[in-house]
Amino acid sequence: MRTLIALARVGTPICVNSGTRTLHATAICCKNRAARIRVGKGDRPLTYEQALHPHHIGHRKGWLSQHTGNLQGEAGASDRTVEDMFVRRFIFGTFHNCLANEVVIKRRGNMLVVCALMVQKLPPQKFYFLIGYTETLLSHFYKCPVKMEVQTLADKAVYKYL
Amino acid sequence: MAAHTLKKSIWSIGRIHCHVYGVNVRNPLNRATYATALSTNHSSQNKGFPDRGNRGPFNRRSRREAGDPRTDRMPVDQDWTTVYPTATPFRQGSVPLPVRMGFPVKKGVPPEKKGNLELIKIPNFLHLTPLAIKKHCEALKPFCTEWPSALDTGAKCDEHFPIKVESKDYVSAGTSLRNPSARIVHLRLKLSCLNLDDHARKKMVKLVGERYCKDTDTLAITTDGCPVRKQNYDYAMYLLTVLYHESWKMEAWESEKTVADMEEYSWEDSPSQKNIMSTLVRMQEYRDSVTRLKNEGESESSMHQYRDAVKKLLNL
Repeated sequence: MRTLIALARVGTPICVNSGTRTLHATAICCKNRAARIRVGKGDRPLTYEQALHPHHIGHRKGWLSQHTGNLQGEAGASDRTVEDMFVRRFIFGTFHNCLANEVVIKRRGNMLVVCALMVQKLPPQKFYFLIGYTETLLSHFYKCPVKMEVQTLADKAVYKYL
Repeated sequence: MAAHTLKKSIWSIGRIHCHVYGVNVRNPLNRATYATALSTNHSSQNKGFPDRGNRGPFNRRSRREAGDPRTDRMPVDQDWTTVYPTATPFRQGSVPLPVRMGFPVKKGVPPEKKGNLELIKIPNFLHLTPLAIKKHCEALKPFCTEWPSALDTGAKCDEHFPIKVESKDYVSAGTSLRNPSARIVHLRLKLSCLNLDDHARKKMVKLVGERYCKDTDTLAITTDGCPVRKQNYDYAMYLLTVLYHESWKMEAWESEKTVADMEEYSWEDSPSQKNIMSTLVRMQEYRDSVTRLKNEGESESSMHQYRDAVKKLLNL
């Protein structure tokens, strides 16, 4: 992305007959682009999660996943992180287009509690089937009880429009 | 006509996938586009799909409306322990409080609880109201026994249970509940409660080295060499037994204990005592010379005798 910006400002060749070709480039624009949705026309609805940037975590935002692996003297942080990522992608794919917001993962002992906010896109029977399917599959995969706490909304909760 | 009758049969038979050919249902609202003059009473949700009756991608007609949240039907004096019996994430339809959480937008208020992910993220203690805790305690009481009344002071506990074993259990969130630090065992006891005589006590202190604290007279053995806690505990008890028996034994080479090996300084047979004793022995001559000096006055020979006596006394 930054190289594109740099290359976009290539000036015209200085002189045709000097035999040299130079590249004119500006300095790299070191902007932080992590997890940020840029200001737009004003018609794009954002949830609270999307609207607040990562540096607000701990100040205005909470943590999406909680476990003891990151405490002093505890092990297993990397394993928990990998499990989290897998669970998030799994839920995202299983409940296609139904997620209203990010998935919150809580761990109580060895139990994995997946809290998800869904939009009422599917009939309840399908929801129940998918929830049961997710729970069984993830329990067998991780060898620990997995519970899903699903709440449904009619539509996404909008925090602001950008 | 075909479509109309088919539609009627669908209502009676149930879900039959019917694909009606030749009926243009592209424009559901403009029914006049049909060639036939039927009053087609199709549901308005045929969004360009072939007529599947009332199934559709998501049939609004048989879709249940979302019910009222539970909060609307909660009496004021309800039993809250039934609403939140265990630790559960925040459910906005079950908590009858108008809670708001989040950073407000400019000239706004914090977002409401409906669809609020922040309230779900945080741990809540809605399942631990005082009434709930009371119920837990009542349920646990049959399994508890009283503390023995004879052990009411710390001294009595030490007297009856002199050996104290300490180990830690670890709880963490994860797929495995094994923690290698849980195998460490600490064993503590006071040496005064062991039956040791003077020699045995000194030998024991020498054997354990750093594990003995002189100020509190406590012997502390820590074992973590084995992978299992039980093994470490057994090893610690074995060490204690062995130390006790070994300290009572008298080896042949222990009689060669020199002054440098002694733990404490003893006056008997010390160089200081020897020096003083020899000085006292030499005092005899000094005594004679001083009495002669005092009795006969200062004379050449008496002074000489005094000088020799002092020289001998001070080993000059």
